[in-house]
Amino acid sequence: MASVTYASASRIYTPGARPAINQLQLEIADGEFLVLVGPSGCGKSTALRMLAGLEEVNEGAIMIGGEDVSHVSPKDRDIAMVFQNYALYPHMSVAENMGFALKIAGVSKEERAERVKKAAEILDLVPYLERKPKALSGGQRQRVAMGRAIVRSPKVFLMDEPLSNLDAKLRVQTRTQIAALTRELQTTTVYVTHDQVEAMTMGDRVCVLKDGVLQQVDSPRNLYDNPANVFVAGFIGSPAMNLFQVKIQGQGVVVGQDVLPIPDGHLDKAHGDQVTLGVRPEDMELSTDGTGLQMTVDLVEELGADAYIFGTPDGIKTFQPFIVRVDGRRPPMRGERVTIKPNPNHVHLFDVENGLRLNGYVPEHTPHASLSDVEALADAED
Amino acid sequence: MMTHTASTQSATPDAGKALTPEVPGFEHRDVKQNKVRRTGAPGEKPNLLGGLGGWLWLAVIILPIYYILITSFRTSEDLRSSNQLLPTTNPTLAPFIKVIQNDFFHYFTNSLIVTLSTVAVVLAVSVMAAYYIARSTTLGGRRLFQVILLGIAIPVQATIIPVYYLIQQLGLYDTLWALILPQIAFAIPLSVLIIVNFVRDIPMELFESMKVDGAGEWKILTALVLPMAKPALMTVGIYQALQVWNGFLFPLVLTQSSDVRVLPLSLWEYSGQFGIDVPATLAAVVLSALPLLVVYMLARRHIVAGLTAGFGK
Repeated sequence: MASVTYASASRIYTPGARPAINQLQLEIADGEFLVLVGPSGCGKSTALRMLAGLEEVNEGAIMIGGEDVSHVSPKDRDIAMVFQNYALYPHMSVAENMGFALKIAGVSKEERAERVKKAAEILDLVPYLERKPKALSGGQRQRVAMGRAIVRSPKVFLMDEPLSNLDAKLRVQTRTQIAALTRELQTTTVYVTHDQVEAMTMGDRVCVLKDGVLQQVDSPRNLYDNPANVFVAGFIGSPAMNLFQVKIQGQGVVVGQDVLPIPDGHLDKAHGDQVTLGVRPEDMELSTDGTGLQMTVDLVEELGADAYIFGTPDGIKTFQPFIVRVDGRRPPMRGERVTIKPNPNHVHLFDVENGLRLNGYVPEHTPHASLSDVEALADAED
Repeated sequence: MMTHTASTQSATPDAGKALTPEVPGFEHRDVKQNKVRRTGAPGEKPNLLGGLGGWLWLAVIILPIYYILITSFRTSEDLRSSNQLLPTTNPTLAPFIKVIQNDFFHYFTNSLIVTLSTVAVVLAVSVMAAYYIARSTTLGGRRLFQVILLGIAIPVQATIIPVYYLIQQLGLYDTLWALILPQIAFAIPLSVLIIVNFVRDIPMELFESMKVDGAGEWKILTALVLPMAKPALMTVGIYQALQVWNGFLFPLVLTQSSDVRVLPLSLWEYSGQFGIDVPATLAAVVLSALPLLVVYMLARRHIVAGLTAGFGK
């Protein structure tokens, strides 16, 4: 068990080009479950592999338990890694797979068998110990990969999208199991995923990366409630936050025909006469008093308890349809005209120029972002 | 999310099939395929031409073998007086007895020593070289591979004179070393080529996983590369053993005395000044081919493709 520190660690593949990981500054406490999340190609796996020793650290340092391991070989770092495709040794039985690291470490045969058995009991793998990986189902293989990690009691668990090969139902189940297991073992865990539901549900803290640069690291709640820049706002949350530019008018912003008052002088810091307004789908409501934005419903997604309506409000320019959460029992029909308005207590304001949050705490060194970054995100998902 | 699942699974199960050595008589088949013969889908036109070609090829191969077998049980007189293409009516073991009495086991032992030591060194060197080449990301690794591959292009016959001088200068002429050392050198390029391709197919994550598990390079070689490359090693081993066992040129040029004579060279003994003892020669052929046949049949079962099945999801 140990803390992990990235001290301005960089990974530069080609000198001069954009680093894969750029000056990553991150402290992970002993026993913490930290999730690295970001869109494809953001460098989250690279960051993890740097910690594993599978990628070089070109600048800065990485420390495990206060000890600089930047140039220590993976085998001497005392870490265990779960790979996306599990990387089980095909020629070894489940028990051999799980006991391999112990064998190399020189643990006696009896102790090895005992520790493997204990781990197998935790993971319900006892009946399969003598089988080869090819005789196991996907979920069982995933558990063997987990077992291989926990049997070692390493300083740090590294998990690189370990659930992405499971089907949806199993993924949800396993997600809970992994989170519970690592907390029980109280082992520091760094978990990489592109699935932000996984990130939000599993992590003590979540670290959002974009283009190798740390955007924000915070608890899931804070990340959701107080995104530090417009990229984090657009990335975290499903369905995504509605983001659009509005004009400043006095101590408020113009939304449709009305002025949404913004208290506490948050607008003072804004550059220019516009700001980006962000409203989560659940913070939009159908207006009953006639004030708000007029919108034709293009699509209704019914999820049972809730329903989401999609559409483009009149006079608002957005790169993707507006999403509004409505009561699942009485959703509007497709083609219907509705009036929507944001809940003034739950709006997010971002500077148009640097993309930083205006109405809330912004950590130092938060990188700038722009609405086009979020647009790119939407394009990538299509 | 969808794209993730597809890409990871396709690479693995075919890893073994990448190895299809173009060696006549070698079959590289999956166990399952042995049971379910591929006879084509129902309603599909049978490939008459292909079938005919196959049978023709088989006839061409099998006829000499048939002839060798039936003739090795005749006497020389019998060979002259009766139809050569039919089995004899008075089979005899005389040719075999003659061969065995004629120091057969001495030559056999020589062949065995030369073959086993050559193949052992070739496999050990090639697998290490292949591991380095397959995992190396440096320019040096690629260049090394190119230089080794160059060795395939050089025909043995073209170098036999220099090799002869070299061996003589080393004082190894007319020893078993003179057979072992050059044959090791000439076997390495092709062996490395085959094993490199196999090692390259071992998924990267397995190497990384080994490293994270605490294994050093040697441990990775013995615990991962060797077991995973076993089909390739078997194939290379059998093929090179065949080459060395049947090799004629090196023994002919580099040895002289009967002390170090190997089997192919010993066949010469049955051709004297006044003719060839055909049945004895062919009996010697049968006897020298038997051990290879046995080895091949035993090892064949290990040449199973798809050893990587089960590594991933």
